[in-house]
Amino acid sequence: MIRASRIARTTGLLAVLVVAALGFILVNPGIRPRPGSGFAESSERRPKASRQLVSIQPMMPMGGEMCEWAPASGFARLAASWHGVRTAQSVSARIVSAAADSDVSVEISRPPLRVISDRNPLFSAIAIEPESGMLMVTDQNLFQLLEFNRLDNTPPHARMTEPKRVIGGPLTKAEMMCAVYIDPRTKEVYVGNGDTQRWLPVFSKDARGNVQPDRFLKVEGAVAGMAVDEQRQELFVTIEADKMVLVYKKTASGNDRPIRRLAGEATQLEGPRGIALDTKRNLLFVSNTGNAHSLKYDADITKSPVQIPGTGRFEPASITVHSLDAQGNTAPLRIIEGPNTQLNVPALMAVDEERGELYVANNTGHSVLVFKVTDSGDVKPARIIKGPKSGIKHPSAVALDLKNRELWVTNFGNHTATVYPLTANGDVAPRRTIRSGPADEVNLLIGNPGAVGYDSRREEILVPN
Amino acid sequence: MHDIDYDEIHDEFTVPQFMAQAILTFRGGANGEEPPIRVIQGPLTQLRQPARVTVDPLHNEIFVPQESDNEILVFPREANGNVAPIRILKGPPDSRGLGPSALAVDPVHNLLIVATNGPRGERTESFADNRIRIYNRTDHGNAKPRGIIGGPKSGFYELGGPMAVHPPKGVFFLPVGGPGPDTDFVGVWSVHDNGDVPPRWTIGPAPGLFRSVHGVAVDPKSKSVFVTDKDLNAVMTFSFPEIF
Repeated sequence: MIRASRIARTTGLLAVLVVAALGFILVNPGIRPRPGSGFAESSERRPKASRQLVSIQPMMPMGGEMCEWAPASGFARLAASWHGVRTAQSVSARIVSAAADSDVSVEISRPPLRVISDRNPLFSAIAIEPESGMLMVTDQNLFQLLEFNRLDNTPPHARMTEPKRVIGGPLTKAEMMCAVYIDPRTKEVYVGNGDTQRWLPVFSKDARGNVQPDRFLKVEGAVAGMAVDEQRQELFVTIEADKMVLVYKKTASGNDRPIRRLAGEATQLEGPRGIALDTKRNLLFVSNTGNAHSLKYDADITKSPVQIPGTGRFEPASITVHSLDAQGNTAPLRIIEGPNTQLNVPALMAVDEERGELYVANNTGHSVLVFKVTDSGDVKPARIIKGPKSGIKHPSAVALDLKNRELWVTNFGNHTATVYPLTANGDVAPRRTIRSGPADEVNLLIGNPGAVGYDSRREEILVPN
Repeated sequence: MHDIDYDEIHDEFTVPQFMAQAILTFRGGANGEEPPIRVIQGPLTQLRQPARVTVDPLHNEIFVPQESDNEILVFPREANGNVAPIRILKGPPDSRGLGPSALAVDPVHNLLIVATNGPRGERTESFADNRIRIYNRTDHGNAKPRGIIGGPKSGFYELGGPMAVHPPKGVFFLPVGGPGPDTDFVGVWSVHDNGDVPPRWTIGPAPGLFRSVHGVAVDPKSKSVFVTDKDLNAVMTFSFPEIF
């Protein structure tokens, strides 16, 4: 009975496919060339019945397992998808022909039917200057740098907290701002641009609006993370695509070159993003996503490298620990890596030198992980802040206020910056929350959408970020 | 992720993974932290910085343009693991003759539509290097294109964003960056166009409409065109009944 049923289903399926394929040809005359139209004029390129029937070949023998419907009926499915064009075919074909003949474009000036966008800032990087209470947050949605006061706390029913100061606009040389740093003495703000620009602009404490930066540095790559050694007056940046840490003089500007580079296979930098310094112990920490490839460098690693084809690989996320003075193709001192670490797309980090703790914004893990600065290998975090009460969702950065014993977290997933006691552990509610949008408004998580797809089965728009 | 292509026949979507030199295919309804069902990655693949991908669901092939290598790699759609390309369309050495930054496949007319841009980041007054080159779908090696679209009338100031094709009408949709504010647009050309041809239709340019138009997809059923803008962080849906 089962076999007979399969035969019947198979025969029926073939019939449906043939009818669908032939039907497509019959009901879509417009895809055939119109003589003289100059459009679809290549007769040998038009769909043919034979090609459609070839799509039936994947059918399994009758005694075997049944094929999935979808692949076997592929052309029929596409034909059905395109069927909606049929009714307007002749009219629009004339429009096409007219447009082509007149050598003039027809401009469609109507506004979009719908726009999907988030009108609220999406917090990304964060920096705190405890003495003045100055809190700087970057916004990767509207491309702004926002200043708040560290004691700001958005009331539950308020739409948002207004920033004290906004820097943003085409003059600022700031766009996808992945990193931010406040100079504790001058209150200048350093901004790292990721992905789309290679400028590192620096703004005075009075800069406001669409202003040119007070100075800017042209970095040899798109910045993912940034840290400053105030004692040595050195500026560290990670370059994710080129798997490098570049070290500049803190006062570098224009086309100044790095004073040293940490790069090469031995470094085990694999998708480096966050960077944090422990000047007390002379250590440099780098978070790595694990998206790896091999690079070809020149002899003294002074130029941007090129990717070696076919060397891509997915490695475990990690934190590599280097000497603060490390340069060249130097192996890390140790690596924090493995399933116990719970690292999952680790992003920006911060170090508490006094307590000897490393804080990690663990983006896809929706957590903040706290390790000992002496940790190595597949270790469990000393503390994990995570859970629904914590409000942590896609954390992109952390900052430490050691004066007031507080931990700041920016949550790319929910329009908030949240603050916790420095020793928080588990599912802890934040002490205060700064919101950039209504609490009940969904965060679209759209950032730098370079493409769009359409899932015609589910009638869904697909947006890669 | 710099691109995405949904395959309606097999209910899958495919994305390029730039950092790990991989092409990932997920089931159509994938959600959350779900692993891909297939991964093309490894030394045989020759993948380097894959930024765009196009799936031909009828002929079961995946096309990956490699701008810096002046080539287009073609893999079997069901390739998984360390798999060599089944063919490579490659421009002449030391030439920007191909340098593909984006592409689309018209499986009905058997054509490969390839955007080739000038040097990255160079937004000059010259349109000389920006072209659409149209090849036969199965071309390989240093093949001559069937047609080349480009020139002042075409207005290809900056190309490179993912494009879309609508085979029943033999047209493709191309995001075009302009020289300044309010000059970006989406243009529609015929797959049979050749030479310095203006678009048949355009969406924009218009004041305040686009800042950095980048990706295009279409839904023939609703007669809609979807457009992303990287500066606006937005996805816009336009009704476009004239074309469907």
